[in-house]
Amino acid sequence: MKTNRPGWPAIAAQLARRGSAVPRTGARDFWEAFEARRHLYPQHPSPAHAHARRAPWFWAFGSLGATSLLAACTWFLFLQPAPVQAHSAIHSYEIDPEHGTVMILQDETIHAAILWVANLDLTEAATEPESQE
Amino acid sequence: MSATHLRSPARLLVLTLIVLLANGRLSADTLRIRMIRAVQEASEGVAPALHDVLPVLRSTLAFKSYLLDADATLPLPANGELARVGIYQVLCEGAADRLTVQILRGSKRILRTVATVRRDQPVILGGFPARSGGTRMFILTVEADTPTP
Repeated sequence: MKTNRPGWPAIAAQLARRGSAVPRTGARDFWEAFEARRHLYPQHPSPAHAHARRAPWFWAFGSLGATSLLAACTWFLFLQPAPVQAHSAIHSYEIDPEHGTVMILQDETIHAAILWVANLDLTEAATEPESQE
Repeated sequence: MSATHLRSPARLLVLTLIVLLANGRLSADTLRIRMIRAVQEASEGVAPALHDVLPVLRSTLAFKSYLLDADATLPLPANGELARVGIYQVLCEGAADRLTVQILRGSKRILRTVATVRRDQPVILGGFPARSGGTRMFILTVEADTPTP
């Protein structure tokens, strides 16, 4: 592809007309100096060396494994659904009046759950007559 | 593509929805609350309404007789409905998997519990003294609701 840019002879002639110093360094010396100084400045990688910058397989698989482990831990610790209660059960209770022992019984035959409150004091709550009794 | 083919997925979807709704309606549960009184005196016969829970009562508790005093039902899941059971009020909230039950007498709360109630597996809340003698208890059971036509 032809360009309109001037070559080195034209540039050298123009510099000579202006009275500027024209470098007299030979091509060989120039390239030797260039090679010597090249390492002082960051260079763009050549396409042949581009593959060397890819992440190694070790890091790829390592990060994948770490991510999977993190996801599994998150699932088991935070996102796992609550286990389904197979049988009847008492989970919690609050008893307001004075009372004695509280027992939770689980019948193994038909899996009934019994919450039994001993010595429950209902004198304060007994404001209405027990019409059913 | 004909119109029949276009309408087939829609018809299938509607049919599936109907089946799901019907199934949900058929499998709706009801919470039955029975207030009974357990006494140490032997009595003749047992209320027919207690036959399903009599085995667990006799195998677990040391009373001779069980008398049914009141019976109430609530649809599940309960949404804070108040059922009047004798002189007590029973406030229920939630599904049978995790049912919150409060037993109140007048304006006083006596007991609040969170329980799982399964079909054919009653939950019994007992130990309430009865003035006429014996011990009062509440039997919670989940029963299949009869579908409405």
